[in-house]
Amino acid sequence: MIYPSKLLPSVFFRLINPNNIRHLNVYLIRHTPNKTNFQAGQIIESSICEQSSHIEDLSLNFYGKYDELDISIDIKQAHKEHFFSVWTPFQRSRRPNEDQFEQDHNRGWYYLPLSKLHLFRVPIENPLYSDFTVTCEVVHKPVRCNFWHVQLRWKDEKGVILSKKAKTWKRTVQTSSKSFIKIHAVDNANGSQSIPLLYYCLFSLEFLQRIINRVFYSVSLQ
Amino acid sequence: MIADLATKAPISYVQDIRDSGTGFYAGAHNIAIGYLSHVPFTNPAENISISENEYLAKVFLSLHDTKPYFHISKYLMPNHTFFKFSEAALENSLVVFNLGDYYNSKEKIETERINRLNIEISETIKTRASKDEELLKFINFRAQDQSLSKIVNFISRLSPKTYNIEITQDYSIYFTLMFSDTTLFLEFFLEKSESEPDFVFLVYSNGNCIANGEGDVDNVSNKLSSIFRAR
Repeated sequence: MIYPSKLLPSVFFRLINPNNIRHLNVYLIRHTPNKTNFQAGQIIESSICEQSSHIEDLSLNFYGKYDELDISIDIKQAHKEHFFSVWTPFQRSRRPNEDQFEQDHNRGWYYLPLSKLHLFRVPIENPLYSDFTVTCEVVHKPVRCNFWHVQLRWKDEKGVILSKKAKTWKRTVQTSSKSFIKIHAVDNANGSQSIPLLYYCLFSLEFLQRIINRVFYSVSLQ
Repeated sequence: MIADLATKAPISYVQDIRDSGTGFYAGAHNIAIGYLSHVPFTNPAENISISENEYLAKVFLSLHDTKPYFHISKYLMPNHTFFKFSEAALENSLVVFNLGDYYNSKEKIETERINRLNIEISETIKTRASKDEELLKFINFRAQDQSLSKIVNFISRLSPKTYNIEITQDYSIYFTLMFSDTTLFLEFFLEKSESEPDFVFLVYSNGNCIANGEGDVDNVSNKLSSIFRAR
């Protein structure tokens, strides 16, 4: 199998701001170790992520270009450091060779709707500290072999990432995050939309049109 | 009447029931207890749905993931919401379960239901723990401080419509309890920590978190009692 080029970042791509696509019906997809992930319509806890500590910066993918067929792809351990390193705009990326990745066909997946996930707030009560609100943030974090990679971040109202706040928050954050995902995870992405080029390609017609309009608007104001 | 309600199951299943330790026993000296259900459940140790006003009918045994369960479907007997089997007799290589008792008392039904939930939840946890020594240590430790039995009793009294128990890799018990319009997520961290709570819970309704809290078993039970009383 040849590594799918549709997953690779291009020098013509830019980071996707999830705030700009919240109005679209965009879903996120995450791989699971097994095919069976739902019971009585609700995701099972062990499918959310392999280790509870991973929930703090859970990795997912924008669903669309990245789809169910790509779930089985896993970069081999020896090459993870390179291919999973963060992609920065204008950086060239190269396709992993056949011997640098493998396929795990036992994997399953689940979906999360971006509009419900991004900037969702959970008020947290804690008798030892003052109460605060946890906000779930979707952050686009492309890596060298996957432009569609995103991470979840759980932050307090000052923007501090909770896992870095204090060890005493670990359990609260884990349970809150898992319950939040349990509520929103679904086993199908019916009616989902791919992210239009406008939101990630530097030279899409829509994007250029928008720039031109902005330039004309500022010129007309002068 | 009893003959009408008798049902048959292969003998091997009965043997499995005697040995399973799931809390459902059948045989001359034990009583098998079944409950009515709107939706035929697939594995009561994992997922239970109870209705008090369904009709009892066929009761038969099956296996799922090597655990036996009673599958009860809507059929004949009106208004008898609780029943017991008095005996299981051999008949042509099949075991026939005879209905021994049934009644309608709401109080009795409620008590039985709570007892049953209590047994099922405890058995589910014990079954999982029997396969994992480390988990068993934590369970035994929590048996000493009584927090496990206290929380299981408390959950049973809440009478969820359905529930699910999952034991996580880092040894917490994650309860998902579903009520008609709310879902309670309650995580019990078996390892004792100086700085972290034993329990964390969140209550969701219509996709929104409407309450949450943390603490030891008594704090959490009190908080949840007041939340559910208010609803």
